[in-house]
Amino acid sequence: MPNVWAEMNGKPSDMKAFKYILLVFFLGLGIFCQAQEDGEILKPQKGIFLLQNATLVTVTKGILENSDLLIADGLIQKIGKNLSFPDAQLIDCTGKFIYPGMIDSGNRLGLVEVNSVSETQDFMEIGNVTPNMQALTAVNPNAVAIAVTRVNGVTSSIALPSGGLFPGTAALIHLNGYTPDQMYGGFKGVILNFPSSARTSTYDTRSEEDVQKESEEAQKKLDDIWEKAVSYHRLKSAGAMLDYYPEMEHLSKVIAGEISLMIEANAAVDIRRAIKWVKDNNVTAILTGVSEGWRIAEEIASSGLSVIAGPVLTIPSRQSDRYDAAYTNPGILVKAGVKVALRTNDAENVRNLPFHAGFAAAYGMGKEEALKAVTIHAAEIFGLDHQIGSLEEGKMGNLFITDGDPFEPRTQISHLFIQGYKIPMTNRQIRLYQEFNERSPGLEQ
Amino acid sequence: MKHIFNLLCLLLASPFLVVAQNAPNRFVIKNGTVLTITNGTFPKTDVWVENGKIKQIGQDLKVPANITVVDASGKYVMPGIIDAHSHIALEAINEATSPITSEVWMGDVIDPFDIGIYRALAGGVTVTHAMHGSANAIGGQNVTLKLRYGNTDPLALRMQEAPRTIKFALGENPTRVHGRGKNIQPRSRMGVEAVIRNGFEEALQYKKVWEAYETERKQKNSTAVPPVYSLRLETIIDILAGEIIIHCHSYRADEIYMLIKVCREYGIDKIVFSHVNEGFKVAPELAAYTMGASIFSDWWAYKFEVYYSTAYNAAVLTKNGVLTSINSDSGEVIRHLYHEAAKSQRYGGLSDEEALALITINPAKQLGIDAFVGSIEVGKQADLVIFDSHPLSIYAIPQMTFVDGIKYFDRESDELDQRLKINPSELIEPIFLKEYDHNCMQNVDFYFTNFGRNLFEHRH
Amino acid sequence: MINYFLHFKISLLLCFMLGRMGFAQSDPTGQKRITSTYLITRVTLIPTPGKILPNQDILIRNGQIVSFGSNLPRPAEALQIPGDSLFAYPGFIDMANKSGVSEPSIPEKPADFDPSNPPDVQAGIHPDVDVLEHYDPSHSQIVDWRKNGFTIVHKVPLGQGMLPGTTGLVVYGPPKSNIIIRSDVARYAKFSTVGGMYPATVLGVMAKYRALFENARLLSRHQVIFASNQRVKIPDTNPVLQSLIPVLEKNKPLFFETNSELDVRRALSIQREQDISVMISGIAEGTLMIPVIKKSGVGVALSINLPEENKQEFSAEIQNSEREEKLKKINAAYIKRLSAAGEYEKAGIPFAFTTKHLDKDKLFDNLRLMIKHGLSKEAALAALTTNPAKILGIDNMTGDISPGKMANILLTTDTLFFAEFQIQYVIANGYLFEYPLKDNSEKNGKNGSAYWEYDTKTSAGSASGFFEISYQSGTAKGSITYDDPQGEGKITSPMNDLKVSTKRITFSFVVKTAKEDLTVAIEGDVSENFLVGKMYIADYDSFPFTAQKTDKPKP
Repeated sequence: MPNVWAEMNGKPSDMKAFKYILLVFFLGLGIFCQAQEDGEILKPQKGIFLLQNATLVTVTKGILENSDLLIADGLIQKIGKNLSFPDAQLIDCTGKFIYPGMIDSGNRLGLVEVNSVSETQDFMEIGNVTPNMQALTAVNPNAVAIAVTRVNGVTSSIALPSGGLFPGTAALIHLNGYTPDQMYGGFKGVILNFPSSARTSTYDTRSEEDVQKESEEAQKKLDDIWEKAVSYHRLKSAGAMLDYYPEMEHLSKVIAGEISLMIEANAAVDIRRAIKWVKDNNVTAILTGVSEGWRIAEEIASSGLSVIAGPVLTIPSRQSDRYDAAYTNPGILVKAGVKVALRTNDAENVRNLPFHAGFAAAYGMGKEEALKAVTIHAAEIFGLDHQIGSLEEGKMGNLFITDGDPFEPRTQISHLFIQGYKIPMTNRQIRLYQEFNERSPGLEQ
Repeated sequence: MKHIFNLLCLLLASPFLVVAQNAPNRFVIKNGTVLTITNGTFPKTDVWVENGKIKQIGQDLKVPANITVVDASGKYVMPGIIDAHSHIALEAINEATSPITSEVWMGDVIDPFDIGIYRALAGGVTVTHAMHGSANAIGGQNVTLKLRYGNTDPLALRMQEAPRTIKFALGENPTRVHGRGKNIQPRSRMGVEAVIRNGFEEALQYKKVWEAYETERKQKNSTAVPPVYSLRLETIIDILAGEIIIHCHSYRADEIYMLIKVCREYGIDKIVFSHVNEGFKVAPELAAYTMGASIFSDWWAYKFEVYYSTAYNAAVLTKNGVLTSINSDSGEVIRHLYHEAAKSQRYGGLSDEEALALITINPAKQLGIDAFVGSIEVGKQADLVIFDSHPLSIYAIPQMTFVDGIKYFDRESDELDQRLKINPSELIEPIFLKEYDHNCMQNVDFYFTNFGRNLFEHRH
Repeated sequence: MINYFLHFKISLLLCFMLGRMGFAQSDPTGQKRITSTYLITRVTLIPTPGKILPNQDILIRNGQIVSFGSNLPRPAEALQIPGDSLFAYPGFIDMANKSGVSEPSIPEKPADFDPSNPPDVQAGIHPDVDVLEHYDPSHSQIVDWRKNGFTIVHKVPLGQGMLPGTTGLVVYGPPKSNIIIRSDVARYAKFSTVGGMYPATVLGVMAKYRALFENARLLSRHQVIFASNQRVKIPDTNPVLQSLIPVLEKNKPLFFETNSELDVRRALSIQREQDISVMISGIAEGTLMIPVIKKSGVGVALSINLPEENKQEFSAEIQNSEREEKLKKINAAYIKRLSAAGEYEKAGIPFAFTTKHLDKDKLFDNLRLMIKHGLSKEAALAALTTNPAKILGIDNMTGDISPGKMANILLTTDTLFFAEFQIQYVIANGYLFEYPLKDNSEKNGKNGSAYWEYDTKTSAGSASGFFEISYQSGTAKGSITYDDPQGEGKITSPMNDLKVSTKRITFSFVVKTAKEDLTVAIEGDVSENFLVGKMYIADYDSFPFTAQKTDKPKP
């Protein structure tokens, strides 16, 4: 717990320090601060911030003790020891740790408000082939869940459309900003739900032959559509004036290599087929889901494709599998040489990403790899590692300050920065806590 | 069966064990950090189990020479975790055709072959409260289970000492299933209260009729003819008489308040609220008049009635004196309830003791079984879990789980495939990408809008 | 023995009696049978499982077995059925079957239908419905089942709910004859539901059973009071409760249909709780329930329906090592399922069989599979005859062949369950049904020939060799090869007096030794691909002789 009271009772040497204390007192303490003034509005704050004397867990450049980090103009300007900068707001991080903001590589955060209320669901559109649907358009920057999510250190996430063969185009968003464009993080991917040959759950009572047959038909459908897209692309590149066909237009962008394909495949046989399909069609792709990746880890490694795995906290894909199959999956992939990023695939509890990572770490992935899976590896997979994923000078100011390991539930996060903005450590859930912890009036007899 | 397999494993070269074997439910766990829950934490301490019960706790215990030794050096020992809201090990969940179904009993549909039982054991859970679903305002009677996986007799999983409990449900689920789905009351929260009151009043009326009959029948040359028998109303009479603990699925603060009022009116004080996402808003009332709240760690926003939830629920309830437990209502979450309890340390700063109590002694009290389980105390049943590190750490991995002193889970030596039954016709197993079963709205999922639209919904 | 049509084939027609029995009547259709007295001659009789009496005559009159024995005198009015080379068994009894049964009509839902409290009849609760009123004995499936040897059948009602009705016992005689053996046998009980109303799950069903029984008790109590004192409220007329009162009094059992082990446990729970008698049918899962069933003493019927053997190849789904493991496990589960009946026998449970869900063409294949995996032939036959008769309480009437019992007899071309046996005649309630036989002569051996390797031990030592038997247009020829007693190498001699059936091979051949020509005779019993018998060397002793049928080695 930050020792604000000691600082308050000490003698501030000058007004600046005193102002800083007040600032921290009002803005930076969230749950520990019971003294929010009525009418006080807590907003993300742009400015110059000097984080002093922290242990920097850079991810890419090792652990730097007793170091300072300067945020200005939305970026990490400088990392070093005993930094100073005029007009910087000082944040004393003695005994604390700074981590790069975590990236959740797949979820529906911002695309749905209340799951059972269909009017609030914006991640699924009608039609089997709808790659032109832009998740970014439908993200609600003011979704209540966003503020709930980021206080756990998740600063960026991939918004996923779902449903159908090509549900749409996913986008990476930073969890700050008031318009989707302000949130947009610079990566888009067209999703392909690879035809599944698995029997999905105990309610699926098709015979073995039917399962096989239907999966072959679905595969054929995919190939047909892809062939059409390839032709479309060829004609267009040759200068043809073709009728408006947005679905093909978008797929042709994938064929042109302008946009990545994110291929969702979970059963081992489907992953295998997807890998082959990628090779045959020569596209740039990322594998997502990959629940049974552990069965064919070497094959995935040889394919050179990166994997977005998760959720980690889920049941094994088969009843005969070992109980911890989903926990151990990312670790097995990493050991085989696959680059792995993690996702929660959740909507309102994306805040649990560090706990998914913690379980993956405990069950074979190791803490270091697990941390990379939610920071630099995710950034690399999305081609954004020059901007995010680690604490390095010049990268975006996405980071948070903790009193310990962010994967551990008992750790408290005291400060959070996204795109260089200092984010108020509050949200509706915290405000409800503050209002009701000592309800007044209390019990009426 | 499985016990014999475990015995064989004990005899083989396992790093923890000395070769010496007698009864399967007697052993000593040596030299672990023992988290008793009720009496503090003791490092380098032994726990001696005889005949399935905890015989002694202390340092360097003098035990018989031939007793099995489980070496827990560097490890943590805690009581078996208790899940006060679960649907694993059940063949059916919801008799959703009537808003009051107090007559049905989950003990009729125990499924001892559910792989979910083993997975829960692997997460340190030893006792589950197998409940009726939440489709009805007054649901069916629940059954408290001990996870004795490997027994093929369903009733062998029943915890004999557990008192009777029954499921109630308020809010969106019963109003959706009956009101919006079938045009039967209740359709609104007004109707939920009315249906429950009707049930209570009808039961009282039925009781009068039967008492009159029994009195008349005892007369000489009586020609009293018996009234109609209703197992449903008989059960509600038992609720009113305090013989059954109500566990009520609820979310909104106002509906929780409603039922507290109704129960006070009818003299019912054996009530536990379940899920109770807005419990923090009526914490003082819950503390004063009920047996507490059994909640999720952090689920919210999957329905409108949980939109205004907070993950700080556990902290607010605990700090206001409400007996609080954390449950799973899921075959997936039950596997890491120790982690769910740890979240209360992030959201509200509960202490280690407070957090661990949420999954041990507190749910034991809410199920009326705290005299037998829920803490490591001499005389209690030997439901124990050994962790390789402190259970509230994200990196903790359960190693062994004991129920009544018999080992049902051993991470080192258990086979990968723990199914008890294999279907000879099923060459290609189904693949589960999500836990579809084991939740409150099972069998009635179609009452949710857009069923099938989204694979990833919660249904609770 | 292979049975070929004998010269004096009896050209009997299926006789139907029009109108009343026992009175002489003109029949312009010519369908009526000319006599109800039959004498089966020189048949190998198995009157009860495990007892074999060769060369018996059986006299049947008016639907009853009069007597059996050797060389019975033939009454003048008796039609003779030559039983030479035939085997006689008691007709099969099916513990539960729905062929010919139609669904009862359910009244329309009332205008104020409330799915949470529906009228019993809509919810599938109508134990008072009599299956025999919805049974059509001329249904074509019945012809097929009779052909498979079933003579007496426990008919159970159709209906999706938990108490579809009351069962009855019928005999598969001609449709217009008297086919009802006994009505009102048991109340059929299930754990399934109609759907869309209470009860909808097994939870509701169990609660409903408890409520119905308790209210039936109360109704009975009320009726007793009313009977002795008219000045009380008239008891409700409730056909559902009324039909359950005899169950509570243990005068009628509940006949439970089960689909899983957990259903069996539920049935036994109800039996214990309500203190009634039950029978449990449809047991298809393995052996876990054996100790429980044994202890309860309840009559049970196993399902003859078996899962298909899983012959599918895995797709390239998982790694090879996993594939092997999984195949092993599934095969083990499959074998366990096949051996279940044998385990029930070992535990001493006198179970019966039901043809529930069974494809009629699989009946004997499945029985053979069970026999291959541990069930004895005697127990299989008992499960089709004496056991169900006992459980259903009709063992004083039928189930075996003895004087006074109902004439339900099967005449087969070979011993029961043997690979090539066929049922040539079925006698049901004394009515004769004949079935044309298929020509099986080509069936023995591959390409019309069989190759056997033999071993024998004489006082001079052991000897081995091979013999071949081939079939051409119905006649068998063979030759045997043996060590030349006069020198090196082997000699082949033709077989004489070769007689071959699926069960027995006998032949002789001549061996030229230095001193004389010896006639050697071989006779042996054939079982599957093994022959066990004796070799007789003229003027000398007999010696053991065994042979195994194998593939002819390539030259």
